[in-house]
Amino acid sequence: MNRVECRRLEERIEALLDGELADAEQAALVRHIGSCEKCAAVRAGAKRLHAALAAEKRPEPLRPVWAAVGDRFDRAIGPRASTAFRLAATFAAAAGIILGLFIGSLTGPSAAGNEGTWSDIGSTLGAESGTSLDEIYLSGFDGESS
Amino acid sequence: MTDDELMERIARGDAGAARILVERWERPVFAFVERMVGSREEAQDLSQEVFLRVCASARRYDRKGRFRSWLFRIAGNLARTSLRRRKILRWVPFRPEIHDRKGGGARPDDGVEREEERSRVRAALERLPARQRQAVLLRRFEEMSYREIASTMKISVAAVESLLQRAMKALRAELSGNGEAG
Repeated sequence: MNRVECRRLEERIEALLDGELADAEQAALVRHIGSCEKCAAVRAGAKRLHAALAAEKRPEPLRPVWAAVGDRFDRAIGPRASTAFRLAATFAAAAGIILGLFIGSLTGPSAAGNEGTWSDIGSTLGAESGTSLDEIYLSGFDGESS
Repeated sequence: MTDDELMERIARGDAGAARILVERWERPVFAFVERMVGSREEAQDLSQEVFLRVCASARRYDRKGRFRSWLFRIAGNLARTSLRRRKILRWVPFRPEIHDRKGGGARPDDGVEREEERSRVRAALERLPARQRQAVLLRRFEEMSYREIASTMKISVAAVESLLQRAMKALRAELSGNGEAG
């Protein structure tokens, strides 16, 4: 029995069986197992566990997953395009209004004529960017949770 | 058609491509999630959520032929989040061996001993810490290489080996009946 080799085998038995070791280390451990009953038993135990796991039946979905995903596909994929479009349209409209106000202030008779202008802009923006919470959630998702 | 090609089509709003992708991957994703959370109903809901997130993220998907890693990363994150939530809510841990397991139970011709061993393996798997269980499922059931598991779990290859080594040592101890955890 070589305690150093036994310890190394104990630490690397899974990598050995999974073929994840460098050739030289693999060969050294296999040689050691050939001369050490304890490590041969460790390998046999590991192989038995692999076989037990391989015999596990794969659980099957209760229902086809697409049935639920298909119903929500448009919402999942669609809103991003329309949200981007809406945002672009909102910015364009806002820019147009601000430009119009600016020109109006240069040419108009008095500031009183522009009363209510800012609230008009606010309602315009609100109406055009009416994004739902779901759209915000999906459009902001990066594919991973915390 | 490859997964990357399907993802490109999904990004353009192609529901047909999404359906192909879902039907291609729903069984492994469901099995993985079910083994992570130990509940079939919860796994069904989480599997749907995985694919909705895949679709919602299609435009940002980075085509590198690593779809499987990306998919199982999403599935693993969702499953672990679900487990954390359950822990926070102090729910009683789900015990699959005492619940209905349609399609996962004993076959009439199974030996009692083999079924007992399966039951012990399932129970032992369930007792593993979530990250160790995730590594074991990806290796033993999805047959991922250590490198692929590392990419999926965003950890180093050495960390994958360490997770697997500790997990399998604990499982071996459970199976041999001495309950020694590694």
